[in-house]
Amino acid sequence: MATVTAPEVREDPASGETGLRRRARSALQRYPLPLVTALVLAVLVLPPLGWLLVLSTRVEGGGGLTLANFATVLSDERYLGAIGRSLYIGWFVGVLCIVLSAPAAWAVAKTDMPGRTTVRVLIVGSFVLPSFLGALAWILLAGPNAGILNRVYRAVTGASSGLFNIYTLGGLIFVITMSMYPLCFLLLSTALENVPADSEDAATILGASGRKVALSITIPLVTTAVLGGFILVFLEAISVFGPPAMLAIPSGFHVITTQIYALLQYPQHLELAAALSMPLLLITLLLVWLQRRFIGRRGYVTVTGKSGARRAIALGKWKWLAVGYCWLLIVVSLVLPVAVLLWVALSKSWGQGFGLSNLTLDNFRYVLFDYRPARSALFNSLTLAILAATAASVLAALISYVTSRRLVRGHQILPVLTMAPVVLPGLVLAVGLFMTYARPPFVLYGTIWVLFIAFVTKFLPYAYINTSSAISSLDTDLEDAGRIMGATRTRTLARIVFPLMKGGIMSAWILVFMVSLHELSASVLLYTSKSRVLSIVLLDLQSDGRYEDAAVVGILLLAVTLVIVGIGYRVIGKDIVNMRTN
Amino acid sequence: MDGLEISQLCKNFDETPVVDRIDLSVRSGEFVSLLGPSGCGKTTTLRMIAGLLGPSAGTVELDGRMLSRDGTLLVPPERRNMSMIFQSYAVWPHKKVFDNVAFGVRLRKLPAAETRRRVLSALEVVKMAHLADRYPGQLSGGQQQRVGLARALAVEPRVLLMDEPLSNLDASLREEMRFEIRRIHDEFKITTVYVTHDISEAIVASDRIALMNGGRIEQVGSPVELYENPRTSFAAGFIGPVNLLPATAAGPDVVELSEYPGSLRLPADAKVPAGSKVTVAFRPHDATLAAAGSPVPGDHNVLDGTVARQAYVGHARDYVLRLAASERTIRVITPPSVDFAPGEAVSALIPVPRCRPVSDDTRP
Amino acid sequence: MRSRNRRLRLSVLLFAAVLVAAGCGEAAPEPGANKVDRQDDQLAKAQDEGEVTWYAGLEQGLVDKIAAGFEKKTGISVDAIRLGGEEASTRLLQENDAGVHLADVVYTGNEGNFVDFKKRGLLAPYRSAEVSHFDKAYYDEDLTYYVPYANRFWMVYNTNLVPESEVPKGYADLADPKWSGALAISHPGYSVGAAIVPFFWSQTDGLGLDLMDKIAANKPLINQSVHDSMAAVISGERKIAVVVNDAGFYTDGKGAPVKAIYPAEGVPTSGGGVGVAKQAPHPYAARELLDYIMSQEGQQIMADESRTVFRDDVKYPTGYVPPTSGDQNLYVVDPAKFAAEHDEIVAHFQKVFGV
Repeated sequence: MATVTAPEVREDPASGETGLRRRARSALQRYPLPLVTALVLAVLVLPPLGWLLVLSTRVEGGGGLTLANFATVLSDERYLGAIGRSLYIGWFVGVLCIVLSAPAAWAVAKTDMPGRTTVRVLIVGSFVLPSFLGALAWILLAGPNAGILNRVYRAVTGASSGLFNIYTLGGLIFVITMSMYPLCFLLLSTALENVPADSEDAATILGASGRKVALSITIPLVTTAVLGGFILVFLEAISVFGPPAMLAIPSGFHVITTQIYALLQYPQHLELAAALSMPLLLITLLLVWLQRRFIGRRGYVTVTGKSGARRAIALGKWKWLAVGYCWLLIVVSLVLPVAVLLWVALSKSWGQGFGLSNLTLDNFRYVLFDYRPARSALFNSLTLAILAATAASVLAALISYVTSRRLVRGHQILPVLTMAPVVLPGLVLAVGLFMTYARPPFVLYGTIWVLFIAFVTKFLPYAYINTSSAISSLDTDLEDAGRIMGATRTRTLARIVFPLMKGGIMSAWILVFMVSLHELSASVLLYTSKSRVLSIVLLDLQSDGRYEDAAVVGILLLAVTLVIVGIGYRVIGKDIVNMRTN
Repeated sequence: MDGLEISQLCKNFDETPVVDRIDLSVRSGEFVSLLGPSGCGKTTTLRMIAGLLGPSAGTVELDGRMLSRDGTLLVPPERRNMSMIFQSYAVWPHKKVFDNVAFGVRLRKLPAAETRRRVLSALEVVKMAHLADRYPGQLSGGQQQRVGLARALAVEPRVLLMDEPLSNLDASLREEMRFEIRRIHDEFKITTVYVTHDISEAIVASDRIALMNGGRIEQVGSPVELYENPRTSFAAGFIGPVNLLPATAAGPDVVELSEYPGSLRLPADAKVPAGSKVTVAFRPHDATLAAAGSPVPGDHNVLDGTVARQAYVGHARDYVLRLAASERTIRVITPPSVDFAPGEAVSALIPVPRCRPVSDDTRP
Repeated sequence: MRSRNRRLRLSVLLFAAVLVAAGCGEAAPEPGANKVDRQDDQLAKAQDEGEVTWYAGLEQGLVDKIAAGFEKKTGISVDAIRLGGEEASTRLLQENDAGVHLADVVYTGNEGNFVDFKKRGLLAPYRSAEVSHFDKAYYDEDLTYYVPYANRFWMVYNTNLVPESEVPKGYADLADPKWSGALAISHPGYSVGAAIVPFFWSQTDGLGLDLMDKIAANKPLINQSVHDSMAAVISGERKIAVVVNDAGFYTDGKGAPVKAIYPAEGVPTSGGGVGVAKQAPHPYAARELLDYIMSQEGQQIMADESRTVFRDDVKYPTGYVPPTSGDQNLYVVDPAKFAAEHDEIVAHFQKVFGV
């Protein structure tokens, strides 16, 4: 329909006030919703960034301006090494994720492989396993001596040493890859499914061979997804904290995130930590820019469930190879880790073998009833995840609305602000937030509210991607109809726009709920005695050598995630059935 | 004063005028169509009346009450007591038919029983009461638009606005719904502004038509007036097939044609100033054909030519004539009994009252 | 107009609510809590406070038992935060800088921390009712902190993986390349105990901090806590844990195939510390908890869990090797000296091990 700009509504000018104040006041009266939204956003995003900048250019201890912190970061071999290793990890994780997920994505999207749907659900579903839980599982599976796989290998072959060593750079890359490749799989399989069969048919009719079709039509069309997936995974890999904290430190090396974390330990070097955050920030900024520049906005995960007529390629005798490959991926990335966590959670002492006598429910009893931090952390985690998910999805929905309906001049700045946290790795954001909220006027440190702000800020972009695509597919006539029938803008928003965006808002909610529940890298800096969350408790237990209890916490985390995500998708699914329209 | 009064209404998008100083009065209970090609500004005008768009300049008044003035919405859409029907139906897919219709009624805070009565009677009017419990996704397009109609009627609006309500329907349904809309208007006499690009919709349903072009109103009048007495060449052409012949006035009721060696008489009321450029319009149906050299009945103009093309269309024959000593062609539609082969020399006979001078200037 | 204003007010209120939430978290110090001596109505006031936050740098099992005993005795609920010793320091200092005061009682395995805390004025002096049961070597002369127990550090090996004949005699033997991939060490940047042992090396002729470099050549697993090193030996992930304290040995090692090694060069022994935070939000409850930790009941809990305590009226469990046993060569760490050397030990470790 025609473009819609905001009708201007003039209020009676407030008497007695003049100039800027009156203007600000009347602006606020005119556009309360958009302006408050913008204000909240600015308060969320700008102070942490500002503090980071201030800190990184401050003389240690706080006196005067300097570039010395950067000089240290860029000359000290330890910091350079950490930066180098992070980039190395990011590169290999990116390449491996693409290489591993491409055959599976192709098999699922384009062929007649048996059990495609199951494979898809399980690979995408391994998202429910946060990366630090994967790291924990792989310590138990592939610790060089006690790891279960190595013990089995030694028992079977009689070899004196094990086959795998997870405490290596390669081990770390492997663990991160296993937790991130589902993202690439999702992007690639969606892209492949969306390659219109017509354009492939067109090429075939023109006489192109099957391989030629793949080379000239299919592959160029999915290049975007490949590059987008690589960049996304690269960024995640260099900013992740859990796996390197569990694997890199024990093996005697740092990556950027663990090095920043170490600098924040006693005795603290805040300025160096801020300076070391900058390379991470710059790399991220650069890649996000590249992505926007060359791939465009579709680079982000926009899953369109387009299910047109698809023509499956017959695999013939190769189909069992494809099935075998996909299930190998699923076993390695999902089945083995979950199985080992379950088993260790039920063991008296996981190093003591597989016998029935080693089984117990004591760990569950202990964690659930006797171990106080677990209960308060479970409560905090759930509270935070629910609040953050609700706040982020409502805020994102409002921002999408204000932006898509161009309600205020300068609305263009809102999406930029909203998406800005994408370039902030969790730990870096946490450094900024710590500096912001550990001093007046906003002393939130020591409460769960600082975590709440961290989660909302960090995950707002996730929610926004969902809500903005939901609102852009919503015909403005639907709300105009509401207005002209006599409903105010607010009521129209509440009764018509939001209910119609429910699918988008719900998936935003579920996504933010899940990632908040799994958040570690910001929490690890911002938690206090009053605000521990499950991921922190798990890390604590692991670093205390209490693997059995850590596994119990991991299982709890998985169970909560599965239940909520399951309920959520059921609700959304029902909705879609009910409304099936247009 | 009763009714809707629009004056000097303007709307610019990014400096480009989309609606340009239009004036329109709609009397209470009247059905007025805004008719015009796409992009003529009719929908924008309608949305300004609704208050969904603020005007760049000009005023919208209802029953003497100022609604919008010079770039400012004085009354937001929800307080204008209007309702609207959309091309896209805009039926809310998350509400059942009943709740769709009830939405506006409930906002008016009536007793529950009264709400129910109004909703059901509105659904009754559009013959949809039996589907009140369905979701819109389960209805056909025509049924959805009936829901839209019921929803708009149920609030008993002061003004009913319709934005191409039938464009998304298929042809037979569209024809049926035209009469339906007019029937409902005759029953309730709600002041209605109806936007369409379809001339036959406008003619069937409207009391008056405001013909729009390029952001302006070209002519306002009853369907008969517009058809019989178009003021501009655009109006003449938009309402139906027409022959337009450029000419120069030789007297108050005689013109010399520019591309044909001859003159035409005009009705006495034409009163064109001598020497001025005019365009003469007549409709293909109004002319008839006779063999060349046949006697010319009184009070007819005659144009000689040869048959360039002829098509038999059952109830009529459709001719294209090339005028003698001219590149100009005209179209003539005759009863099927009038039969001339291509190449034959013929005379086109046009009653003088059917020859209207029209202006090429679109400015009123 | 009216509805618009109401909406505006609502938005502003919501926003204000966020700001108000921001303002919470400050606690006014209690004036009466400044007196050093125990007060008669202290228990009642503590019970009014209702809870106490304990930054506990000791293992969870012990924390749970002490908290449970204290709650049963006083009805005051304990919010016990289990932290590594250095983490407890980091947080206390960081929160003090931020003006956020959450801790009531601080407890770490390193008396040296308390020398530092006292210097920074983070501790509130308090004359515990239990003080008469301790030699004055085991509490600060200004009563800002007490020594609730001591740790003895030794090594532990997995008896399934290391034959009796090959068991190292002392720290020097760890330099042998045959232990490549077989050792687990703990990071002094995260664990206080992990700094005590290298400190002992630096103070011992024939060892020195160089030993760290030699151990590093054997690529040990680097853990964040001494308990994790112990876990690595129990599970068989590594053969020998270089830094384990006696407490970890007895609590975690029960029934596991592990045995202690008393290093020939000496058994480093160091006191822990416990004190009341100066800005404690629950000052009376804090004093009550400190009293409980130093009481016969509290100290006996630690003795039962094989901690070395200094109270004159506790009994050790059978099977426990008391510090006086003949085959140990105890080296008692001087907290002030250790505190002075600590940062350099951490820095050296970071340089040698790269983390």
